[in-house]
Amino acid sequence: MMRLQLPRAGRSGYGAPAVGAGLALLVLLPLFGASRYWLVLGMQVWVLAAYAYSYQLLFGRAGMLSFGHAVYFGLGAFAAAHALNSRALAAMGLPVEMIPLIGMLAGLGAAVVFGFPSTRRAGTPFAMVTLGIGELVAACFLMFPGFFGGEAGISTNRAALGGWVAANYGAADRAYVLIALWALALGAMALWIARTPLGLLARATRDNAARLAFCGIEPSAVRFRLMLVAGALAGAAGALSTLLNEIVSVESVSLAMSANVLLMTVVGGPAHAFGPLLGALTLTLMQSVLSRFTHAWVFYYGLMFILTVLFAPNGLTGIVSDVLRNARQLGAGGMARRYGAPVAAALLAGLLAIGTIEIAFFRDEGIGAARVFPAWGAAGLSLGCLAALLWLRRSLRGLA
Amino acid sequence: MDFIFPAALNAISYGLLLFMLAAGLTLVFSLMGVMNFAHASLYMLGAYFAYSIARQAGFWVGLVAAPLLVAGLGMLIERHVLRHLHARGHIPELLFTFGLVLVIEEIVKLVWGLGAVDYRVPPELRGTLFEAFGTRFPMHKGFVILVALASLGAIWWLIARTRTGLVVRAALANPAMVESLGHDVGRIFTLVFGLGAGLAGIAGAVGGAVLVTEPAMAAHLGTIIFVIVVVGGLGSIKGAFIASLLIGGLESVLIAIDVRLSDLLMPLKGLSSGLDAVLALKASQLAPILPYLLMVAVLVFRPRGLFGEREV
Repeated sequence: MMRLQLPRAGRSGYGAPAVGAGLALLVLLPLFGASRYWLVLGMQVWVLAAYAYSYQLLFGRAGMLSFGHAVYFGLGAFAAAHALNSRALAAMGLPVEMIPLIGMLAGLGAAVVFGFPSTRRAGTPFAMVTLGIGELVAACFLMFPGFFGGEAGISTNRAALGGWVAANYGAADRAYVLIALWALALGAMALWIARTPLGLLARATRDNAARLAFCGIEPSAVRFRLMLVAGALAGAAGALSTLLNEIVSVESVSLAMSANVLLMTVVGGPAHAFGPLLGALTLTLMQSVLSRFTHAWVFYYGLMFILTVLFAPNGLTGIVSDVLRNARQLGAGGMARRYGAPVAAALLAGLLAIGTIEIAFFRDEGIGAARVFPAWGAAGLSLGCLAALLWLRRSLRGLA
Repeated sequence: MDFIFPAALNAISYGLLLFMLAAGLTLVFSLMGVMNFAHASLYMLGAYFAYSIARQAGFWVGLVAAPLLVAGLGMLIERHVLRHLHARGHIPELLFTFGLVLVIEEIVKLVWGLGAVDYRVPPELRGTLFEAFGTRFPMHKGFVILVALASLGAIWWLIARTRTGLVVRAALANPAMVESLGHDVGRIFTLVFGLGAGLAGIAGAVGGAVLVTEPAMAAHLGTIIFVIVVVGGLGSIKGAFIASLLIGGLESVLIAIDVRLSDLLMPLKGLSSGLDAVLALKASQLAPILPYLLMVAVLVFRPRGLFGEREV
C-alpha cells in the first residue's frame, strides 16, 4: 500500500538506457586496458551467462527442471570445434563470427532428437528423464572417439578461420568483444522469447497445464517447442565456450556442466532478467578467485545453493530487489533498525562457520586465519557459530 | 553353462543391491511424491560411516550402526527441511535434494579424502561359498544376497503384516482420511523416509565393502536407480524389483561379452562410415549406455513403465 504513494525510481524511464550503457561498458572492457587474466574471466562470465539464459527460459519460465542441459551446450561446443577444424568450411569462407550459428544448429538438432522423449511430461518425470538422457550422451564419449576425441578431447584454434570485422580473433581483447556481443544477443533472444506467445504459453504450462489443455493447446507441444529454442540457444553458448577455451572435452557434456547451469540460474534468480548474468558472475568468481584461497569452495557453493533454495527462492537478484524496495520505503535509518541485527547475526554465523571448516580441514593451506589457529580453535568457533545462529533465529522472529 | 551360471549369480547379487536402493526411493516417492536425488548420497554415507565404525569396532558393528545413523539423518532431513519445503511444491524439494548431493559429496571428500578408502569385507567372508561349473562363487557375493533378502523381507513384514504397516499403507492411499482418524501422518512420513534412508545405509555398508568406497560412488548409482524407478514404473515396488534385476543383469552379463555388433549384423557392414563406427562397438562397450537406452525406449513405447499405474 505504501508503495503507491512513493516515486518509483527504477521505472522512471532512465532505467533501460542506464542498464544498456552499463552493458556496453562491459562489452568494451578491453578498451580500458584490462589484463589478459581479467579478459579471460570476463569471457567465462559471458559464456556461462549465455548458457544460463537458455536455461532460464526452460526453468524460470516453464518450470522445466532439466538435469541434462549440458547435452545441448556440449554438442554445440563439439560441433563448433569440428567446424573450426574443418578444411571444407574454411575453403567456403565461413567467418569465425558465424561459428555460434553452427553450435545453434547442433543444439537444435539435439533438441529435436532428445526433446520428444523428455518433454512428454513435466515436473519430476521430466527432471528424471533429462538426467538419464544427460548420462546417456556423456556415456557415449568413449564409444565414439572420432566425434568426442576420447579422453583428450578436441583441440582447435579460433584463429584458424578469418573474420568479417577483424582479420582474426586470436588476441584476447578481440575475442572478448566477439564473445560478449554474441552472449548479449543470446541473452536478449532468450528474454525476448519469454515475451512472445510461446513464452507466455510456456508460463501457462507451468502454472496450470490442465487449463491450457482445456483451452485446446497441448502442453507437451509447448514444452517441446520451448525445448527446441532453449537447446539452440544452449548450443550457441557451447560454441562460444569453444571459441574461448579452444579445446572441448567430455566435461562440457557432463552432469557437472548440467548441474552448473542449474546452480547459476537458481543462485542468480530464476525469474529476474539479470539473474543468469549475476549467477554466472558468482560462479566464475568463486571458481577462479575463491578457489585460490580454499579447497572447499565447491562445498561453499553447494551450501550457498541450498540456502538460496531454502530462504531466497528468487535468488540473489530477488534479494537485491527486495532490499531496494524496502530501502525506498524505510529509508537508511529504518533499514538499519529493521535489518541491522539479522544481517549482523547472519554475517557472524557465516564467518564463524567458514572459520570452523577451514581450521578443521586445512590448517596448513586454507584461508588466512586457519593457518594461525590451532586445531582446537575449531571447537570454540563452532560453538560461537551456534550462538550466532540462535541470535539470528531470535532476530528473525522479531521481524515476523 | 559355465559362462551363464556365474554371470547370473553376479546379476542377482548386483541386482538385489540395486533393489535395496530403488525400493526405498520408490517407497518414499509413492508416499510423499518426493523424488530424493540424495538417495544414492545416503548410500555413500552408509559406506563411509560403516568404514569409520569398522576401523574402531569391527565390521559387524559398522554393519548395524551405520544404517541406523543414516536412517536418523534421513529422518532429521525429512522432519526439519523437506516438510517445510513441501508446501512450496515439488521443484524446491528436488532442488534441495540435488543441493544435498553436491554438499554430501564435498563433505565426504573433505573428511575422508579424494581417493578410495580401504573398506573391505572381514576375513570370515573372504572365502569361496561353493564351486559350480568350474567357477568359484565368492562368499561375499552370497553375503550381499543374504543381507538384501533379509532386510527386504523385514521391510515387507513391517509394511504388510504389522499394524504400523497398515497405517502406512492407508496413508499411501488417502493421507487426509488417515489424518482425520487420529493418526499422525507427519510421523508416518518421517518413519518411511527413515526406512528408505536406512535401506540405503545398509546397501552402502554392504556395497561399499564389496564394490569400492569412493566419493564418486553416489554419482554412478544415483542415476542408475533413477533409471530403474522409471523403467519399473514410478511408485511400483514390483516394477522396481524386476527392473533392478534386469539392469543388474545387463551390466554384469554384457561386460563379459566380447562380441561386436558387426558380427551380429553382417549385412549392414560397409553401408556408411558412421554406421560402421557403431557396428565396430563391442557389447561390453555398450554396457554403460544400455540402461539409459532402455529408459528412453520405455518412455517412448510404454510411458508408465513396466508395472506403473500412472504414466511417467
